[in-house]
Amino acid sequence: MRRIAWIVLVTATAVGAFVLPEPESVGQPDFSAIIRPDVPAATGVWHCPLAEATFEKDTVLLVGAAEATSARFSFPNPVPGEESEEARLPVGGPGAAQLLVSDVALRGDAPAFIELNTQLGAGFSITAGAGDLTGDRCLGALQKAWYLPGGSTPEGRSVVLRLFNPFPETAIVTVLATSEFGDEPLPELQGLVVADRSWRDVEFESSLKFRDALGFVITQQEGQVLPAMVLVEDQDRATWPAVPLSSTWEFPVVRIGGLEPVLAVMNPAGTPATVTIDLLTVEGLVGDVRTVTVDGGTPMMIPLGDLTDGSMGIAVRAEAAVAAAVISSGSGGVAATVGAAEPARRWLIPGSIGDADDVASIWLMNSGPRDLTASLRPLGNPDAPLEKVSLPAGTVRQFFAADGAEGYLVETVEPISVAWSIQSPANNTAAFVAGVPAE
Amino acid sequence: MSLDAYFSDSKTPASVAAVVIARHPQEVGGALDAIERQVYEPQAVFVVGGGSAAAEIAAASGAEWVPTVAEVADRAATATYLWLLHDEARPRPDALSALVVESYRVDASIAGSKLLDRAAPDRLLSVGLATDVFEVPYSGIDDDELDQHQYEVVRDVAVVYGASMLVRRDLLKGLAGLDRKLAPEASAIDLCQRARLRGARVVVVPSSEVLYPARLGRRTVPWDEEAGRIRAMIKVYGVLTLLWTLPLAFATMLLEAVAAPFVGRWTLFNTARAWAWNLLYLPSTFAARRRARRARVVGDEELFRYQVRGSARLRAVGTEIGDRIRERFPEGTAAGLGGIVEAGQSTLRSPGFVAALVALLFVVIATRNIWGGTLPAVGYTLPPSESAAATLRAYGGGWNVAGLGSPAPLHPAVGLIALVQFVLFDRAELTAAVLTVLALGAGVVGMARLLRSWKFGPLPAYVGGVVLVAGPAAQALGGRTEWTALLALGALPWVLRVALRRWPSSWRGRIGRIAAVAWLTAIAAAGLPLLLVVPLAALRVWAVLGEGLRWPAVLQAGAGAVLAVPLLFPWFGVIGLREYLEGGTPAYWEVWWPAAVLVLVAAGAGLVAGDRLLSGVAGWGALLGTAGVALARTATYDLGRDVAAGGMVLAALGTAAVVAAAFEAGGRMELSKPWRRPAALAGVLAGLAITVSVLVPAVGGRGGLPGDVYGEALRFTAAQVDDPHNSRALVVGPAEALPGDSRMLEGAAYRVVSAPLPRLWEARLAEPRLGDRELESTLRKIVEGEIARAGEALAPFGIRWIVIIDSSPFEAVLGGQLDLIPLPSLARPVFLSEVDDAVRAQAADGTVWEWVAPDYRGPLGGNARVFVAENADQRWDATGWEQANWANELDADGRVISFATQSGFRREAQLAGGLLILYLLLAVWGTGRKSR
Repeated sequence: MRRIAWIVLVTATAVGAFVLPEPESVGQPDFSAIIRPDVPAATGVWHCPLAEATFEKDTVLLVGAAEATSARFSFPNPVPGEESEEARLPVGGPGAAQLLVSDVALRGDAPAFIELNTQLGAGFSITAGAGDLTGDRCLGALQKAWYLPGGSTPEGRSVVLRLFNPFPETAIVTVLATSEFGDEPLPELQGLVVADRSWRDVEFESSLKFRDALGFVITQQEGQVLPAMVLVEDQDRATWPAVPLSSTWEFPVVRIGGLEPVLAVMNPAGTPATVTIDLLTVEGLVGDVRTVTVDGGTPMMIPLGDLTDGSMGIAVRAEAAVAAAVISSGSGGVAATVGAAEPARRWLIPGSIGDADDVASIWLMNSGPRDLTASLRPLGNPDAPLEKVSLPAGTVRQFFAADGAEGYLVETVEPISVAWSIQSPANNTAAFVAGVPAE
Repeated sequence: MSLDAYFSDSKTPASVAAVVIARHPQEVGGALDAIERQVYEPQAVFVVGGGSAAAEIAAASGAEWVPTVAEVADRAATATYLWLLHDEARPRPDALSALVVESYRVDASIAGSKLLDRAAPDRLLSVGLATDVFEVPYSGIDDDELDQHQYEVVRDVAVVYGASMLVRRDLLKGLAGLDRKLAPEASAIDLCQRARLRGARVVVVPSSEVLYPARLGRRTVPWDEEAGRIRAMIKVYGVLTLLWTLPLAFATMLLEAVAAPFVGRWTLFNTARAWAWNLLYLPSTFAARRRARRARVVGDEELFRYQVRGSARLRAVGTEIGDRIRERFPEGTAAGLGGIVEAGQSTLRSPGFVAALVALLFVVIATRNIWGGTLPAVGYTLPPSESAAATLRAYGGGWNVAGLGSPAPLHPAVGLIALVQFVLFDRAELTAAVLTVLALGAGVVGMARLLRSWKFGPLPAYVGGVVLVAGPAAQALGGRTEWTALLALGALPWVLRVALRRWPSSWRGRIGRIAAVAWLTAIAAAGLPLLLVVPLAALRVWAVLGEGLRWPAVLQAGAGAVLAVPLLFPWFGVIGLREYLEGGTPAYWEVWWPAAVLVLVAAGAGLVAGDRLLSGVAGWGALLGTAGVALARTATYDLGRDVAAGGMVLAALGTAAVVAAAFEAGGRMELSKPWRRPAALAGVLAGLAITVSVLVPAVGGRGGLPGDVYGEALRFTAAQVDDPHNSRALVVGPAEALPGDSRMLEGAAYRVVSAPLPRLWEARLAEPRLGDRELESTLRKIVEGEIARAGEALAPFGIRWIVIIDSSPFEAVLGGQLDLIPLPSLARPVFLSEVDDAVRAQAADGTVWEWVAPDYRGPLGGNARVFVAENADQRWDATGWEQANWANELDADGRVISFATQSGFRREAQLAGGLLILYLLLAVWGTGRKSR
């Protein structure tokens, strides 16, 4: 009898043990997804590879923030053992702050990074002097691969690729150059070492001469770098940061003064991609003004000057994820910028900076179907009034920055795109700067 | 010199009083007769002790009876010498004359006789003794050595046996006689040592022959003799000598306890009892020590003169083991195949010995990397802290150093292990090794003895013991890095074994029994607190459906569990039941089902093929095993780590019983009914398959624990900075790969540990406090990109390094930090903070305060404001304490910053320690002969 009791008990317990369910497995989170690589403002650090300060030229580092914060500017010193130069500025909420690089690091090239205690901030770098006016937004989030379209090396023009490593680890990167001839195999671009807290300029003066379209793909084997492009034409320069890939791009500003714009598109995929361009002017939207096929691995320059005479913006749609930039050149110098991968309801943008004669403009582009009113809150000048700008569907509007407003916080109820330009009639130069979403 | 020659030298004959020490009254008459036959006639004969029976015999023989030797010294006022003679001694007629003559000749104060075996008078027992420094006698003669007058020289020795000893009366009086608290052998050693301390000469006179029972050569020394040797040491040695001899004596006795089972001796309890006795009589020993040393004329170096090097005790064990091996494999029998077969057959004649030897050898092999090196640091298996005293202070209401610190009490295992470490000269590695080997050995032997009490043969019993500590469930326990639970596993079968013994008839025995059960339960529960109730549950099941005497065991286990509870304080007083049961990683044991099926087959075989008792054990084991597995898979009910470990312990116990039952049934196959034999055969095969699985931990050599992780992963910290102790490391990775408990951020595990290696007292994290929440917030900001200088943000926590074990989502965000340097050439990704002051405590002037756990030490004369990166608590020094965000800031007006002990916890810890000793003493006292 006892044997039977044992058997029954053991069987029941064994069955019970067998059927007890396994706990639900909670997978490890993906923290890399929390940092959204395609939205620069998702980080609190802005890397500005192209800052510099000499007796002739100086860079203004501009910080805008939608909430109160402090900005810490660091200028890594490439000399081993030397400490970085640093500066700190408070930023109101919302507010802006400017730092002249010459006040901190008057030593020529001085790539910098700006740390903010908020994700709702932005960093911009604008360099002026000696007939040069250039700048763009700084780089926010990090990427495993960066893309730099828009280079060209015809007679009288050259490009320089800057690789900035602000981190304490040596970086090793590979640069793949492509042109209208396809891949440009350059062994010296394999395994480029960029020392920690330093930068490296790669020139293509001799190796890639007379290319009409040049693009670069920077992949990182070890460490991290922040790349930017410098295009030199006569005394003027255009600079723009590297971008990730996106199937949509919006450029609220592509032309000012006598500049002729070109859209540079780079398709790193193995197959061709159809790229369609919509035109937006003050009158309204003209869809599909250009439809081109961009071969995989071959950068393409698409002229835009013939689309219209006046101010314009463009919206780019591609079948595949592409990298894009606008380069405008002509009698008014040369300017370039990257676009916005997607519109947003809140933007940070520089305001009135530079000489009094310089004309700083904010470009607002509404590619959506609804008429909107954008409110522009001046930053850094509490006396400057809030501005309202009507923005009908499919239009682009230019707004002149008020004196004393170091930056603007632009807000709308529906997503738009925002950019900034500056023109120096005295020096016959201009620069484009992409806005930074602050959502 | 002959007696005639002696008298012809016209010396005055010495007067001698013979004193028979009566311990066996029936022997007194024989001793008196032998005295009567002496050619050198004593002037008086006394009988000391032995009660009224001895007194009557003395009266009948014309001898005078007195209660103590000291009294003889007073009464025999005219005697020059006292001849102390044990009642079992039978001196040859010229024995006394030889002692007297030679003593006069060499001016000795104490002279001893040569002892020969009373049963075989040509066999030599003793010709004086040397001792080692621990007062363990060493005769220097072989077993069965024949007396061929090879030692016929009067010589100085350290000690002579009290069986026949001539002592100068005035010396004996000055020494206040024999120490009545000591056993005979120890008493003689004590007397000789005290005499030598006063400059007396001790000699052996081989021409004085005394026949004596051969008990002198016995291997197992009674506990009272052991206790006497310790007392003798304490009485004669100087303080400096005692400082090293006492701990070493304890260690050698422990080592003997480990090694002696190989030769069939069990000395552990004798050792424990001897030391416990000395603790009890320490005041009396101190008083005797004062008297003994007051009139000393020589120092310890004189006592060392006739001592042998090393440990006579360990030498004897080694000799015995060698003898045993020689006995098993006599010369020539192992030569050739036939010889091997013959030797094998000879060996199998004593299967109990072989089974025990093989089982314990298995333990030694299975733990070789632990006793040969260090305990692996992995998961919850962490080495004991560097200082036992510091750990005990933290245990008794001090600062809990786990994570960012807490005033919460430490786990009982930490306290118990620290106690052992304290005894073992504060050697952490030695402690880990000794505990592991002892626990596994105790588990094997305890399980075997439990099974033997159910009439199991030695082979199945020891196989069961090995399966308990190395079978599938124990392997799972090791795989989960549950080192302290493995230690607890060693005590569990002893609880059952002791509780299942026949209930003593005397009150002393009963008290001792309950104390023993409570003590063993507390030892087991310290390693895994759930084991408070496991023995009770197991015995309850046995009581319902088992065989034989059962219910008293349940009551004993219940009483033991209740009495063991106070020993788990102060931890027990603050831990919530739910918090305890649900804490840690979810309880889910992914059982390897083929093994489970094998166990069930073996259980079925035992149930079917065994008799009532055997089938009962098989059923009991199977039920415990399956219940254990079920318990270890209860994650769905939110049960956690300790429940899983408890289930595995239960499963280990059950599996051991089942496998042993299957083998036992197989062994009785010939006696079984024919229809049961296939079942028995199936059981043996299943049991064999399970038994083979114990080779897995044997191969690893770490007692089933995984290989070291943190020792290797954090070793680099020692090369990074002068003193890695002053900073912490943030360790990230899968929760099961991190040291001890971990905290979670969005499902990613992390925890803070001390460098260069987290210790056992850091394994369990207390409830999160301010600093822990601040750290979580900081990590969240790093993850969300709000912080780009993780090194700077983590520096206030004292975090200098971030180490990634296996893989972690944190790795994705650490590479982009502006002040974290990835360290190259390491096996794991490691980031070093660039911030110089990433330290645990720092003064306002930048001076780093060293972490000497659990305190902080600064420069001499340092008066400064110091930031201490521990969770804020105002008991961190009383002077000028302020809460600095989540941490502490205070005025250092001395060289040490320490946490003020919480008196409540301290009292509880003291009570627990006191009860631990009390239970042990009661258990030892209760197992005495009178208790049975």
